[in-house]
Amino acid sequence: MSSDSSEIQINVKGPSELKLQISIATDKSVLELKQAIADKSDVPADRQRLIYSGRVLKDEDALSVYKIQSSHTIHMVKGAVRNAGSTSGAAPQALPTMQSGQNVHDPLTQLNGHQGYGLMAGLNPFADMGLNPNDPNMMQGMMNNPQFLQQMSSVMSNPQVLDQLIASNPQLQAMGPQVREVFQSERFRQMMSNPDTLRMMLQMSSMMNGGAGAGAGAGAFPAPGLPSTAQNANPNTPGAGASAALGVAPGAGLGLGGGFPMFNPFMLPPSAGAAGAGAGAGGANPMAEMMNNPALMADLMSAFGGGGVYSLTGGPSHPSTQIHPTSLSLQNIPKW
Amino acid sequence: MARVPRNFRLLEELEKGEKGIGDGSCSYGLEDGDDIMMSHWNGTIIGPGHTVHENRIYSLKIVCGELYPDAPPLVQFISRVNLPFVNQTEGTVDPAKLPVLAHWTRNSSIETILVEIRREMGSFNNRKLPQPPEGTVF
Repeated sequence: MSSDSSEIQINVKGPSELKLQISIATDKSVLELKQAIADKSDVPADRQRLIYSGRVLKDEDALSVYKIQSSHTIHMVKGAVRNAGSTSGAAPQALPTMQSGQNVHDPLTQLNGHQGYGLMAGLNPFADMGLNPNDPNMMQGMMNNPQFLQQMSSVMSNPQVLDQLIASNPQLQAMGPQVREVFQSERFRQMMSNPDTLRMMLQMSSMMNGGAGAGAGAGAFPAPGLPSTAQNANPNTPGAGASAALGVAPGAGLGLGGGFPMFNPFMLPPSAGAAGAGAGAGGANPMAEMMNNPALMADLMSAFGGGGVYSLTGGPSHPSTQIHPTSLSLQNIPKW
Repeated sequence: MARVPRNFRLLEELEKGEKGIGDGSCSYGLEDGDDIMMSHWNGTIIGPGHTVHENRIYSLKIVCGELYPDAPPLVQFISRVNLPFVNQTEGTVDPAKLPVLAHWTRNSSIETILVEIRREMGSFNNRKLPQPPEGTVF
């Protein structure tokens, strides 16, 4: 036994692209390997579950039991990651209306279904993700929640869903192809799937609302290139009715809230001048194009802000930006 | 004569399994590394997210007969699971009820079976089926 207790190099693949290389002797136990992994990652040993060649490794076994060889790969899965509320094993509840609308050709069905588009499942019971819609910090929480971000990004990268979104909203539909172009542009999707951008938009959103009131409409949005009132606004204004940059609609799947202007990446403080330059020069930038078209912008914002989108808002002190859970339900969506 | 392609194929699959495929949501390998005929395999499936199977690890046994890959392998769940194509007393997968086995082709592999079963777990009809306690076996 001692003669074959040689040192081997194992690749460990874990969640979110985690990859580790670990050198360990084969007479070490699985638990010792887990500890070595814990040292190199932020996953404590007792949360790790290791899988190699179709087998779950048992803590007390020596690595030699599994005949792991150098350069082989072990998969690490995090166990019991979720908070108490969701570990009950109960099925995530979908809206009853979703269930009646089963149709394989309907992207919303897919949304509610498998393959990672479990948007409804993940978002609908907010408690599942430890989110409290009444919490002013909720949007921040969501932005920091990898689960949410991943869902956002898979939703935004599914053209079918976008088509559906547009088709389900007459106002968006009326706007013609520009909206589609914007939505379907890589640039837009990148922005939508970039946690930092989203966070930034959120911050901007609350700043803007602090200065310009809770109005989610076009009025709150300064013309492109003009110095933004955001710079004067107190970013820490509490309960400013920060209309969420993203609205989550249990019917349409996903909408953009009143904070839409914040999508302009060029409006990063402190330089408003850069915003103007960016919008002017960025011919290739779909957002800039959109910003240059005030009519489209206004349309878009009223469609998003006022179009009955279930807007997740953070400011309980502003009734006008409270959540309207019933404002857009499936019944309002035309049959397709 | 027929053995050569069979073993060649299985060797290929073995190597792929040891290197680890994808994100580890499906994994497989020989039950016993000394099994020269490479007949008996283990497989694991990590239950797809946002389903009742989330965070569960299911273990399976796969037996590749002499006719593999012309004929599909036998597939049996070790971990208890409630799925329409799994026999509830033995855990065997009914080949007639799982399309990847019912319409078997030489291009299918152990990996494709596991991936397909995992996909079935996330299908609309199966994602919410009540499941036996985690960790129980057939």
